[in-house]
Amino acid sequence: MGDVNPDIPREEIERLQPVVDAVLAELRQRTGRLTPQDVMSLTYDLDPRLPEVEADR
Amino acid sequence: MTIREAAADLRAGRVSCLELADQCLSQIARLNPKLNAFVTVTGEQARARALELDRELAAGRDRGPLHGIPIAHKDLIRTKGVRTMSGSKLFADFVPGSDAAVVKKLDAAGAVMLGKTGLHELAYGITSDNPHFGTIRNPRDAERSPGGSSGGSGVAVATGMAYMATGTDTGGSIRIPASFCGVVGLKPTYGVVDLSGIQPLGFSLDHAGPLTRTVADARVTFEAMAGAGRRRAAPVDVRNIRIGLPENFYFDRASGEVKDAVRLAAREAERLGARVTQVQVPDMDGLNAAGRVILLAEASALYEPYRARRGDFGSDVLALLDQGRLVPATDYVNAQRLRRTLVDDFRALFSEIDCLFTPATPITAPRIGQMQVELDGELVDTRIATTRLSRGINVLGFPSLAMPCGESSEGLPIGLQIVARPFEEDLLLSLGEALEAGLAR
Repeated sequence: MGDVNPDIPREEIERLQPVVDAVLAELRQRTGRLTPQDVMSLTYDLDPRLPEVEADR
Repeated sequence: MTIREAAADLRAGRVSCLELADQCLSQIARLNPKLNAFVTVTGEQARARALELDRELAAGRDRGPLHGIPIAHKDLIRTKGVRTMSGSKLFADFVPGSDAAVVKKLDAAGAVMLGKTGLHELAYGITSDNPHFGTIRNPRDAERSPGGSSGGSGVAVATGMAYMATGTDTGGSIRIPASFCGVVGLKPTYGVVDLSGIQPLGFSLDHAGPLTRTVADARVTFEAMAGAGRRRAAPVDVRNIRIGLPENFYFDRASGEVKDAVRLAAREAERLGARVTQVQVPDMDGLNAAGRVILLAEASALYEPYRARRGDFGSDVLALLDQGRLVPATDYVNAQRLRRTLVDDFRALFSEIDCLFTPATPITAPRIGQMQVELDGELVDTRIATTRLSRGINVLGFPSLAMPCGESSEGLPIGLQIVARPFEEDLLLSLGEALEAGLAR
C-alpha cells in the first residue's frame, strides 16, 4: 500500500485504513448483491429534461 | 427585511439600490470582525453597481424581483476580477478571468454582489472552521459552529449582511448551515443549476443553490439561478399533498427537541390540508455508504495534482484526501451501480408520496471544535452525525429544502428538510411558503 501511495506517510495509512475499511465493508454488504443488469449510469440521467438544462449552458 | 419587502420598497421609492447596499455594507462592517462570514468585501464595486441600477430603475428599466438586491457569493464560485480562494491555500491568489454561470445569471437579474463568503476548506467539511482564513462563527452563539461548508453564506443571510447568498451542496453544505443558522437553503435537483465556474468537490454529487431568509426569497433566487433552461416555477396547491413521515432511520438518532419540532411541522402541514402518512424509507445506510465512497474517490481524483503539497491542506481535509486514495476503483464503480438501484427504490417510494419530511440535521449547532456528539446515549463523530440525514439526498440527486421549524431550549434554530421528486422544486417551495407562516407563529 505504501508503494501505491508513496507520498502518504505509512503511519497515516495505518491510522486511516480502518476508517476506509469500515465504510467499504458497509458498501460491500450491498454491492455483493448487484447483478450484471445493475449498470453504472455515466450520464446520471435523472430525467429526460436534463438535456434542456445542458442546452442552457 | 426580505427580498420581497425590499423590492416593494424600491419600487415605491422608499429606498434606493444604493441605500440597500449601504445598509448591508454597514452590517458587514459591524459584524464581520466577530463572525468572519466574508473573506472579501467588494464595497466600492457594489456601490457603483447599485448606483447604475438606481439609474436603470429611474429610466424605467426594471430587471425584476432581484433588481438592486444585495447578495454574496460563496468563495468557490468564480467572480471575474475578484479573488476566488475556495477556502484553500492552493487558490489563495487565484483571480478568475470570467464569472461562473450563476454569477452571470444573478448579475443579469439585477443582483448587487457585496463580496465573497467564507467556507470550509475546499468545501470538504461541515464546520467552516478554516485553518487558513479563520473560524466562521454562528450568529446565535459565537462559540458555536454555523455549519458548512457554506458557513459564511448562512451567517451573512442570518445577520442581514446580505439578502441572499449562494451555496454549494455535496453532502449537505447548503442545508446544514441553513439548519444551524436558522435560514432557508434550497438544494435543487442535480443538474438544474449550472455548475460551470464553480470549484467542484464530488463531480456526481455537487449542487448549487440559494440561502435566503424566507422560502419566497428562495423561490425568486432559485428561478434566477436555474435560468431559462428550466421550466418556470409555478405555485402548487398544498392541499392534498401527500407527505411521508419516515418511521425508520431519520428519527433513530436525533435529539428529542429536533424530532418534536419536525413532527410539529408535519402537523402544521396537515392543518393546511396536506395528508401525512408514516413510511419506511429504503436503505439509507447503504445510500450514505455509497455517497461517502463516491465522494472520497471523486474529491481525491480532483486534487491528485496537488498531492505533493501536503502542507497546504488542513489536517481534516488532508485526512479525507488520503482516505480517498485508499478506495479501490472497483468499490467506486460498485458504489455508482448501487446508487442507481437505490434511486429506483426511492422512485418507488415517491409513487406513494409527494414529499418526505425529515430533520435537516439531527442536532442543533455544535460547539466549535466539538468532535463528538451524544445521540440516544451513544457518542458519535460530529461530522458523520451532521451529514447523516442530508448526504443520501445528494446521492439521489432529488431536490431538498431546509427551513427553520423551531428553536431548541438553548435558543438554537432547528431545521426541517423536505425532499421531493426530481424537478419538483415548485412543490417544495409552495409547501415551504405555506408552512413558513404557520411555523413562525
